[in-house]
Amino acid sequence: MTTISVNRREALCRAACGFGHVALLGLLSSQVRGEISTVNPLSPKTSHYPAKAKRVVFLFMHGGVSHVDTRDPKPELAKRNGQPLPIAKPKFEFAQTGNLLASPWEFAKHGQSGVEISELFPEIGSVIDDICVIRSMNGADQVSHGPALLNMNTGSGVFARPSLGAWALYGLGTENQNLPGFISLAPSLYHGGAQNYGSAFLPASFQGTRIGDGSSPFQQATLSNLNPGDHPSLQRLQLDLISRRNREHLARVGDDPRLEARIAAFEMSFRMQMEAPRVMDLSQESEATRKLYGAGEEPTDEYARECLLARRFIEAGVRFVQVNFSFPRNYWDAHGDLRNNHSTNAKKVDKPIAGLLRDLKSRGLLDDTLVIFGTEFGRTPAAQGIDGRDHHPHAFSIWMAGGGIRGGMTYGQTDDFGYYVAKDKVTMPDFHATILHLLGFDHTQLTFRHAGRDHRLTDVDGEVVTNILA
Amino acid sequence: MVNRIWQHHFGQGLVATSDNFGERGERPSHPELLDWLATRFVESGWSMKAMHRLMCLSATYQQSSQSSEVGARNAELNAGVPHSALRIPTLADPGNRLLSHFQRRRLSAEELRDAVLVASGKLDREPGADEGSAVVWDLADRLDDKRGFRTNAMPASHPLYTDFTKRSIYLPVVRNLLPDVLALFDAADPNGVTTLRNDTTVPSQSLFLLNSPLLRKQSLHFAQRLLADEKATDAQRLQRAHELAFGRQPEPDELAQGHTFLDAYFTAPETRTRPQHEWRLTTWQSYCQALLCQNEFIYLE
Repeated sequence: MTTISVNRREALCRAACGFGHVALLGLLSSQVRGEISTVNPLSPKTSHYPAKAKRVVFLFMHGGVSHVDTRDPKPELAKRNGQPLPIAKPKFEFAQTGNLLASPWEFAKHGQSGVEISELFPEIGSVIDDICVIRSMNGADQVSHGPALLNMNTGSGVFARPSLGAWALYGLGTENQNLPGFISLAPSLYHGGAQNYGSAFLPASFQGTRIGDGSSPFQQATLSNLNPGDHPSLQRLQLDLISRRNREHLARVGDDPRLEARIAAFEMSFRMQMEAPRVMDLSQESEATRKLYGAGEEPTDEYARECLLARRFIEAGVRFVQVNFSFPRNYWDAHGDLRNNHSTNAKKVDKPIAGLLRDLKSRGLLDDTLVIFGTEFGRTPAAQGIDGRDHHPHAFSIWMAGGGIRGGMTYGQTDDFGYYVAKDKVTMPDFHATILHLLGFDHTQLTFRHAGRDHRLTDVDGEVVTNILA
Repeated sequence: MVNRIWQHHFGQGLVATSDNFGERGERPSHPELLDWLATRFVESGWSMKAMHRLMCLSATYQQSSQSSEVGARNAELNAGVPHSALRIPTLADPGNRLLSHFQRRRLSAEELRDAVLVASGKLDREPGADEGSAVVWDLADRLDDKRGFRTNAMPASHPLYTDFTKRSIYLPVVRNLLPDVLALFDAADPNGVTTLRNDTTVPSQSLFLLNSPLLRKQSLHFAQRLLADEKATDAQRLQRAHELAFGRQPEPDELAQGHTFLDAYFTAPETRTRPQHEWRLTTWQSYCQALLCQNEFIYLE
C-alpha cells in the first residue's frame, strides 16, 4: 500500500483551505505519526472534561404525556374538578379548553425516596430511586407537535438545526466503527420526520440512522441497505476487486485522503453487514431477560423489543440511541378519551422501560449511560371537550436517570394547577446544556461554524441544571 | 452570481465564502478574474448559459486533475524517498486555490444517481416531475380535502425511488424524509439554505452502493446492456464496460483483473446454486456494480 505522508502543517492548511471540518477532525484523530491510513470523522474523541455519561438512551414519547396524570400530582384539580381556572390561561394555546379536569388516576409515593408517581406507571415507580423527575420543563410557546418535537430534538422549532444525537456524535464520535453511532428506533415520519435525527448543517456522517418507523410494526424493522445485495462470499470477491482497483487508482493520482477514506468505508460497511444483524438478533437474549422487558407478550412486545435492542446497541458501542414511541402506531395525544389513551400507552411502555433500567443497572451500565424519558409537551390541566386534555408546553414533566444524574428526587415545581412553572424552570436549552454537560461538554464551547457564526445546540441560551447532578 | 457558477463547476468559488462577500468573508483568490466574469455576465445579457460555456471552455476547466507537483512528489514517495529528502517537501498550494489543476470532487447525490442511470442505459431524458409528485400526492393522508391539506406518507423506501428513471432533478423531494440516494450523499437539506454542500465519506454510503435496490437493479441493466451483443467476446465487453463507466479504454492489467474476477465469480459454488441462465448475468451484474462503486466513478477528475 502506498504510504501517503502528510505533515501536520500541511494537514491543517489543507483542512482550512477546503476539505472542510470533517476532514480536519478525521486528520487530527488519526493516531499514527504523520501517516493517514483512514480518515474517519466518527472515531472516538475526548470530551472537554471527564464525564460520567458515555452514552445516551433517549426514550421519546410522542404526542405529549400529561404531566398532571403521571408525574406531577395536583390535589387542587381534584378539589376544583369542573371549575374554571382561577388564573389567566396562557396567551398561546393550541385550542380552546374548558374547566379544570381532575386526574382519573391516583398518585402514591414510591421507593425509599417517596417520589410521587401516578398509578399509570407502577413498574417505573418501583425503580424511582434511580430517577430524577423534572417537573418544571418549559417548552416556550411550542404548542404544535412538529415545532415542539423539533425543539426537543434539535433545539429549534423554527430553524433547521442538527439533532441532539448528531451533536453527541460530533463531540464524541462513537466506539464501534462497525455500527452506526447514532440510531433512532421507530421515529415518526411526521412532525419533523428525519429532521429530528438529522445533522442539518453538520456533516452527514453525524446524522442518525433510522431503524423502523412509527408507521410500521417494529417487529419487522431492519437497518436499510443492510441486507447483503449478494451472497457474502460473492460480495467479498466484489469488494476485493473494488479495493484493488481503488488502490491502483490512488497510486496513480495520489494525495487525496477522501479516496483513502472511501476505501476504508467499503471495508467498514462489509463488517457492518455482519455485526449489525448479530447485535439486532434478540433471540440471543435469555428468556429471563426477555420477560424482564416484556418481550414476547402483549401489550409490551413492541416497545420491549425497542428497549432491548437499545441496550444491545449501547453495549456494542453505539453512542446515542433514541427509542421512540411514535405516531401513528403509538401516540399520547389525548385530545379526547384521556383515560383510555394514557392507560393503554402506559401499559405498553411501563414494564419495558423499568426492565431497561433494571437491566442496565445489573450490567453495571447505568452509571455511565444517561437515560432520558422525554415528551414534546405536557397536557392542559383544563379539559378539552369532555374527557381530553390539549397540548401544553408551558409546564410539563420529563425524567432522567443514570449517567451522573442524582436519582430518587424531583426538581422544580409547577403552580397548584400544573399550569405554569412556579420554581426552577428548565427550558429546552437548559435541558440540552445539562445533557451535554453530563457527556463532558461545555455547551457554549461545542460549536460548528456555519453561515458565518459558531452554532451550538443551545444557540444563545442554556444553563446547566446543577442540582440534579450526582 | 458568477462566483456561484464558478463554485458549481470548480467545487469552490473564487470567493470561498460564497454567501459572504463582507468583512468576515474571504477575499477572492483571483479578484480581477471575478470582476471580469461579472462584467461578461452583464454584457451577455445576464445569461447563465453564456457563463457555463465560458467557464467550461476555458483552459482552466480543461486541466487534468493530476497536479504535476503532486505527481512528482508522489513518484518520489513511491520510490521510497524519505520525507526529509523530497525535492518538493511541502506543496505550495495544497488547497489548489490557484487552480493549477482540476480539483477532484465527488459527484453530488443527483449527479451520482444520474451517472448510474447513464451507465446502465436506463436514463429517461424526458423532462417532467409529474410522475413523481403524483405518487407522493396520492399516497398522502387526506387531512382536509376541502382545503387540499395532506400530510406526507411517502416512506424513504418507496419503490418510486428505485424505479424512477428520469433525471434526479425530477425526483420528488419530501422535505422531512429524503430517499437514501439523496440523504446519504449530502444532498442539500430542503429545510434550510445550503451554500456549499458537504462532501462526506461514510460506511452507510458504501452499504447503499453495495446493497441498495437501485444499484443492484441498474447494475443488472448495465450487465444486460453488455451481454446484449451475443457475438461479443468478454474482452470486448470489458472494454465497453470501461467506456460506459469511465469514458476510457481499460489498461491491460485491468482487463486481466476483469477476466480473473469473471472467472472466479462464474465458477463460485454460490453462483452455481442459481438457475443456469442466471450465472453469466449475475456475474456481469456484480462486475458492473463494482465499477459503479469505484472512486473513479464516484469522483469527477
